[in-house]
Amino acid sequence: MMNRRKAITSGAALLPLGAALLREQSAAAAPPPEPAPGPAPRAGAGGQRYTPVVVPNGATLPFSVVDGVKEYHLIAEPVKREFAPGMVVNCWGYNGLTPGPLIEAVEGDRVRFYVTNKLPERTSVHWHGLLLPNGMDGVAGLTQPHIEPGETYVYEFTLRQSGTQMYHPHSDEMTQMAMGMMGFFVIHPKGGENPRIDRDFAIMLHEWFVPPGAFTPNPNVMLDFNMFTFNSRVWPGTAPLVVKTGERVRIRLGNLSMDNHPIHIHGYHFEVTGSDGGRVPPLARSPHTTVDVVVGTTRDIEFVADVPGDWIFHCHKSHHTMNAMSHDVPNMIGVKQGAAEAKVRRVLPGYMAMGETGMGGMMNMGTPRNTLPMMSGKGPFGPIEMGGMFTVIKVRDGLKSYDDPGWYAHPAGTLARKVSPPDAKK
Amino acid sequence: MIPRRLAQLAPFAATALLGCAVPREAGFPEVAAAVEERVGARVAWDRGGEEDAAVQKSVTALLARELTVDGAVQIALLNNKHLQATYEDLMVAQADVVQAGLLKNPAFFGSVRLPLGPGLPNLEVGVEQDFLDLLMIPARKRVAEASFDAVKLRVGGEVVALAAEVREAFYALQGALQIAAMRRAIGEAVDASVDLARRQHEAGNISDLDLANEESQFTQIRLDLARSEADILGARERLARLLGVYGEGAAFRVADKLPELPAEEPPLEHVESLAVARRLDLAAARKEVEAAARGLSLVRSSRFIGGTSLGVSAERHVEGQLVVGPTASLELPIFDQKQAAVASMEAELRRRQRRLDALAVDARSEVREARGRVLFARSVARQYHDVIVPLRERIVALSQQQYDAMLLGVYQLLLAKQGEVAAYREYIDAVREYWVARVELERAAGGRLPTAKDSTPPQNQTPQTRTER
Repeated sequence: MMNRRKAITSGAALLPLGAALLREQSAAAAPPPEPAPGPAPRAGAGGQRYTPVVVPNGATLPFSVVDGVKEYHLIAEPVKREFAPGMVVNCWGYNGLTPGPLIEAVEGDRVRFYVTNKLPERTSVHWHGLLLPNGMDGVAGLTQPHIEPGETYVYEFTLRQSGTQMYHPHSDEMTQMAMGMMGFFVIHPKGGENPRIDRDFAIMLHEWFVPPGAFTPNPNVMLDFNMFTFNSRVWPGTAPLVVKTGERVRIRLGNLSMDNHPIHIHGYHFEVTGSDGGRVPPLARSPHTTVDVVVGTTRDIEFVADVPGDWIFHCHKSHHTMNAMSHDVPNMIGVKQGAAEAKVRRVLPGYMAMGETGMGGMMNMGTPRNTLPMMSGKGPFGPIEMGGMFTVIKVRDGLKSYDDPGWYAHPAGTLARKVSPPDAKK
Repeated sequence: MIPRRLAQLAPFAATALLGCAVPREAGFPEVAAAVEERVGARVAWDRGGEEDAAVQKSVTALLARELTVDGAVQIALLNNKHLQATYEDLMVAQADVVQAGLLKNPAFFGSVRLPLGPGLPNLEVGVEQDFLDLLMIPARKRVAEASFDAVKLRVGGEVVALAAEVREAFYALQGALQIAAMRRAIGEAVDASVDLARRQHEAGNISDLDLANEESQFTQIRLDLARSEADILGARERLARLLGVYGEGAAFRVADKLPELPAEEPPLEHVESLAVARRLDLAAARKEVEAAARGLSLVRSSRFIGGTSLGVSAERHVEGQLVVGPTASLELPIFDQKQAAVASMEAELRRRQRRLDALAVDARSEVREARGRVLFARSVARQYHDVIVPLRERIVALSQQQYDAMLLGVYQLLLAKQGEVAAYREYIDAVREYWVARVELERAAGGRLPTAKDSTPPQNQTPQTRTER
């Protein structure tokens, strides 16, 4: 550790004096941050640098600095969101997106938000987990009037915390959140990260009920959801998380749905390092493969990606890794349909018996419009047959960029393979 | 060379002296013509002649093939025994006409009386002929002829009514057959459903209660099917009675599908006046009024004429004298001046006139109602054909799509299919209702409706009374 810091300060000596002085100011509070590899870091109000958060299938909210204040514009409006190719949903969101664009700032920044309402009904924005003056809290009716359609309100406060927070409406909250209105509010610590984070991802968890063949979620459903999303996308529409071998990875998870989601990683053990209440002290962290993201919280997990491969990352509630399925179909498992199939065919020529051996291999028979197969996705070894809250962390040696590197090329001797019985005895 | 005078008198003399035979055809050709025009089928009167064998052959030939509705009508018109019984009314009426033209037979009397004392037996002979008839016969014949015309029209009307009944029974049978086929299809869907439930139960996937609920559906559909079979039997036998068939003949075949609705209705604007002009029951009622009028005028004109007879008698008196001379007897209308007969005939005339009026009102109303029913039945059938059944078919197709994506279970899919078949069954009901309404319209209109080609209003074939205009 000490050696690295020395190396950095010597690097800083190569910079012009002014810049060095600038850095010296903040260095007084904490050790100076290391320059992050990958996309160029952005300057915070205090000249801090941070690894920008990557939002798979999403975006970060741009800002402009006006008199030292970071100014952001949020537009609450109806949006059309493609959950995966073949399914488009009529949602509500911010700036054309659901989840809304990720707000990124640094501890100590003064921030100003202009919120314009283009929804058909009134709204407000609550800053979940933010420590701020009560009048900026965004609870319509209590701390501010509702923002009527067409109106613009301004929120302004100084950030005096760091961590993964969220923002969402607090006016007709149930409906507006069910329709997809929520987003991340990430505040980087002003002293920088220790240890440094090489790849920082943010995934918003959510669940919906979109009747098969329809386009609009039903906000009245409270238990029987059928679509489960990472950043309002489902597998096979979820973008992979591309990581270079050896990088320290943080994944920030937020949950404003109606159920807890136990998010599980393959191939690694991680530590839960933070929540929307702040950072977990190192001694208080425990190792896990699954983090239960409770409703109304965020969880940060961190691990070092030291084993290359295609490691999946998914909710462990197995129904949440299926796209829309009906829970009312008769249970045909183990039922020999036999001659009954011919009987049904006499009145329904297109009928095919299904379900006797489970649901595998059944997914290419066509669906109603705007409906995804329950399980799909093609992998290098065959159909993956997954859906919903499911994505792949692609860890690779020697990556030149973070574009999708394709499937992992397994080294010889590391693949499970079929054998015939005589070989097994050897 | 026969003197002209004699020649003029000859037919009269022949009729009077020889007594005429009753014409065998008894007006049947007129009935046949009226029926042919209104029904489009021929009739035959079974009287043991050599044409009867030919009629039987054509009936057998028609029965051998699959019956069409027109074929069934033709068979009934040739073979129905009730109709054959009705034809004899013609002969009776014809005989009445002949009877009306016959002179009363002359009366001969003779007596022998023996004196109680001396003398020869008193002999008396005489011959008398009623001559009132000579004056009355023409008028009497005209009355009888009017009645005969009325009977011809009435019999024709009964034939046309039978033809309509045959058509209605035919369509009822076709409808019953088609509906039974639909019920069988529903039965297959339910059977498949129950079969799957049994298999689910066998694999331990559903409870006894769920299985029992599925099976109870099946019993219901089997009852419906049995009822359908009973309907078919009833419809077949009704048609068999109308066709007059039994034994092998009762095993006739009909197409098991009702015909589709014709593309458009024949023009229906003038149907009411067509009915009034064409209906045989109205024409018969008109003729009966005419007969009553003639009868009344006959009675009125002969109020003060009593029986008149002239004759010749001869007598040999006891003393041996012969006397010969003409006789005459005359009925004196002193007590009975036919006042009762006149009153009765007047009443009868009025009764027949009122009856005709009533028939005309009823006929017009029947036509209007029947026309309305045809148009209504057409719109209902169209609604099923264009909207309801296609919608059900679409539901099945979309359900199949959802089933394929495992979003819908097989029971729901089968239920959707049952719904489609049920809608089709209702469509068949509507089609049958249309054809039955059509038959009723043609009956009410007095016969086949003109097609779009003959769109001119009909000419009156019989004079109408005041109320009919």
